[in-house]
Amino acid sequence: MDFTRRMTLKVGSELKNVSLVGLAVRGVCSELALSQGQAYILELAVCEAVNNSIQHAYDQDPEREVEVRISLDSDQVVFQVLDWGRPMQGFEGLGLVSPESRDPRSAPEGGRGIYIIRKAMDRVEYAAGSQDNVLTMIKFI
Amino acid sequence: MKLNFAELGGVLVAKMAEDRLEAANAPRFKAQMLARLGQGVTRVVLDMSGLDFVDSTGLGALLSCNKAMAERGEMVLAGPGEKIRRLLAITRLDRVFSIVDDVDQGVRSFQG
Repeated sequence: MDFTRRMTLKVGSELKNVSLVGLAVRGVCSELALSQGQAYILELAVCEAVNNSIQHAYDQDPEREVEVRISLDSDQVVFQVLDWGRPMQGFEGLGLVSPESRDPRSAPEGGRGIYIIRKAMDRVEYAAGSQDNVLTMIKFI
Repeated sequence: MKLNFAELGGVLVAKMAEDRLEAANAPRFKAQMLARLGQGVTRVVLDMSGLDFVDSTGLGALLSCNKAMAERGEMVLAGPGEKIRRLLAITRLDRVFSIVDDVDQGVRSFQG
């Protein structure tokens, strides 16, 4: 018997919608044996992925849609963020190290989204297809 | 993004009225903060106690303010909750920002 539970969300490509996705992820995380801090980082990672689709794949075109698929079973939760816009280039090399610096005058302001996703999840895969782009994020529980 | 400003012992205290600092509102936060900091402010405490969610764009806005203040003074982050502290640790920005437990401690840090 398949005990996996699944949910699919679609949001318009506007940043104001991202918190709605966050609330849904927060709800799913409440089903898991996670600390508040761990749940927050998962919510944050999914929001970062949706932000990326809205800002970089769609240039914030509100007519486009981002889809978030969540599946939950006994030992893992899988988040997939799909868009049909411009794919990310060189994903394998993105976000491998934190762009931090001890000097407050030189710490870069951007470039932490993918890093946060990689830190939050146990497995991260990106597939840029001929039609859709799918970021798959897996957390083992 | 609504920001409230107050003066305590010669220190500017800024507090966000919303509980999320994210891509949707961080540019407005950054613009309002930089405009206020540009009015000769040298010591500022940013009250984070009401924040429940910060994303990477929010972190970037905080870094921008920190960078602006590093030129002429200092900014202190006061009272970030456990979740925000975890984010700051993961991104190693806890080594970049000055972080204190609450606003009073932040104000006192400038007076000591």
